[in-house]
Amino acid sequence: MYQSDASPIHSATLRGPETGTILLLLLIGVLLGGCYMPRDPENTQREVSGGTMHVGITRNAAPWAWMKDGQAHGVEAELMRRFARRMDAQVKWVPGTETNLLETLERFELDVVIGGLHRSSPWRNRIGFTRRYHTSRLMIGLPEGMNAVKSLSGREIAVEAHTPAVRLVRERDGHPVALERRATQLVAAPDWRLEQWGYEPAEPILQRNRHVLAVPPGENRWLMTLERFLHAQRGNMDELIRSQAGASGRAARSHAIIVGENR
Amino acid sequence: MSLLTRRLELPRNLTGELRKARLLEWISIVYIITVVVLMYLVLGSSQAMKAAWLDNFISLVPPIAVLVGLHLRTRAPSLRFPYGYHRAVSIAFQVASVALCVVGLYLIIDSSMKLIEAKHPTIGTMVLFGEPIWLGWLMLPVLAYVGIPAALLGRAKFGPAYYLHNKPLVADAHMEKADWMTALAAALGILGIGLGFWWADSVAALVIGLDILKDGVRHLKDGVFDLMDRRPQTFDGKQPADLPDRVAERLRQLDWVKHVEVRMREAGQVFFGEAFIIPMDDHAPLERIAEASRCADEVDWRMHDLVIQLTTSFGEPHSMHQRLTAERAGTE
Repeated sequence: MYQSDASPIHSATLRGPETGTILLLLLIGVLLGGCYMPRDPENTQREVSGGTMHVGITRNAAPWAWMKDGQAHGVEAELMRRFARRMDAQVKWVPGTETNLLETLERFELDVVIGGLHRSSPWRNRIGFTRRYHTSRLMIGLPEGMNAVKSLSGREIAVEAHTPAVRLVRERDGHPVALERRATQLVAAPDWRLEQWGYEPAEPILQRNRHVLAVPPGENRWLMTLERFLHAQRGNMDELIRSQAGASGRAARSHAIIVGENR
Repeated sequence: MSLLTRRLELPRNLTGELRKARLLEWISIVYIITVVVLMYLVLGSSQAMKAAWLDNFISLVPPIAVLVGLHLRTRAPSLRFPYGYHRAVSIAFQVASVALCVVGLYLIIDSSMKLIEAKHPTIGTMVLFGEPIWLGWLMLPVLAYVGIPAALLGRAKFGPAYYLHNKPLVADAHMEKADWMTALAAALGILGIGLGFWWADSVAALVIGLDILKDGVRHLKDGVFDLMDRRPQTFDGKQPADLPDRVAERLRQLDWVKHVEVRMREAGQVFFGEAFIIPMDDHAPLERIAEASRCADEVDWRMHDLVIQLTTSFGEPHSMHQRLTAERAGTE
C-alpha cells in the first residue's frame, strides 16, 4: 500500500563483514598493544627504574610524612623506601609545601608526592591520585569502663585545638573541651592517635579520610605500578601506622591548648 | 463525522509488528539501564567514556517516548483533546532532541578545553578478584557490551518502524544503531591513552560530541517542522509523501466531483487533513460528503481524519488553482 515510500531498511543495515573486520582489527590492536599498555606519555617509570625516584615530601604531616634533621619519616616515607627498592632506584627527598610540591608534580618535575594527602583534595583533577591505600577515621575514645555512646549531644568531648574535630563535635551538639586528664574524658581524635593513647576507638565515626599518594597526571603505567605495590602492602599497613604514630608521638610536643567552650 | 476524531485502529496484520516494536523498546530500556550502571563503574577520568556515558543516558528517552506514544495512540480522544493524543510523541521527541543538542554542545566545548589545556587523563587500576587491573582493560569489554547489542537492537527496530509508519521509532532505531560508533570512538580513545597519546581521549570525546549534536539538530528540525504542520514527507524525509495525491486521485474518480484539492499534516503515525471539493451540482450534498469520506478512508490506514468541504470555488478565481497545478507540473 505504501510502496512508494522508500524502504529505509536496506540502506540502514550494518553489514556483517563490516562489523567483523572492525572487531578483528580492534582485537589485533589490543593484543599487540597489550604488552605495552598502559604507557607513560612522559616516561616516568622508565626514568625512575634503575635510576632516581624524586619524592616530594611535606615537612609536617605526621604520622604520614615529616622531615626531621634532614631525614624523611612517616608511613608514606617508609612505603616510598620500600617501593624504591622494588624499582631498583635511589630516593631523592624533596621537601616543600604541599602547593609547591603539587605544582611541581603537575609539571612532571617530581615522580611522587607524599604528605598525608586525602582523596578529597581539590588537587585531584589536576594531578593523579592513587587508589586509597588506607582510610583513617576520626572516632571517639572512651575512658575506662564506659560503654559506647550513641550520640554526642550535650556531652563534653576533648579535642585537639584547631583541628576539624572541633567543628565536627559541635555539629553533633557536643561541647569541645581541652585535652586534659585523658583517662576520664571522652576524646575525639583520629583512630591511630586514639590507639596510641591506649583507647579503643568507638563509634560514632565523625569523619573518614581516604589517604592517597600523588603522581604526575596521565602517567598511567607509573600509577599502575605504584598501585600494585600499595595493594601488595595492604597487610602491613596497620603495623606500619602504629609504629610511625608512636615515633611521631615521641617526637612531637604536647598539643593541649585550652579551647573555650562557647567559642 | 463527530466532534471528536475517531480512535485509531491498526489494521489486523500490523498487530504483530506492534507487539514486536513494544518488546524491542522494553528490551532497550532494560539494556540501557544496565549499560549506564556498568559504565559508571568503569568511567575513570576518561573524557571519551564520559561522553559515551552521557550519550547512553540520554538514549533512555527515545524508547520511553516511543512506548508512551504507542500507548497513547490507543486512547480515545476526549473533549479536552478532541484531536486525540497523536502529537504527544512528537513533543517527547522534541525534548529528547533538545537534550541531545545540549549534551553535544557541552561535550564539544569541554573536550576542546581539555585539549587546549593539554590535560593528561589519569587512568589507574581497580581491584577485581583481589588483583589490581588497569581500568582501561575493563573499559574495553564494557564498550563492546555498549556497542554491539545496541547495533543489533537498532537494526531489529527498523522493520516494525517502517510498517507502523512510526517516525519516533525510526529515529530511535537510527540513534541506537549509531551507538556502536560511539562505543568504537571511545574504545579508540582508551587505546590511544594506553599507547601514551593523552590527546586521543579528548579527540574521541569531541567526535562523539559532534555526532550527538548532529543527531540532536536533525531531529529537532524534523520535530519542529512536523509541529508546524509541514506537508507530510516520505519515511526517509527526503520527498513529499504521495498520500495526499492518492487521496485526491481517489476522490476525483467520483463522478460528481469536478475539482478537488487536499491538504494534510502529520500527527504522530497518522495524517489529518482537509479536502476541498467543487461538485458538479449541489445535489444530495450530505450523502456525497459521506461517500467522499468513506472513499478517502479506504485509501490507507494512515488516513485518519479528513474533513470534506464542499465549496463553489477555491478562493480567488484562477490564481490558487492555477498555481497549484503549475507547481505540480514543475513549471514554477
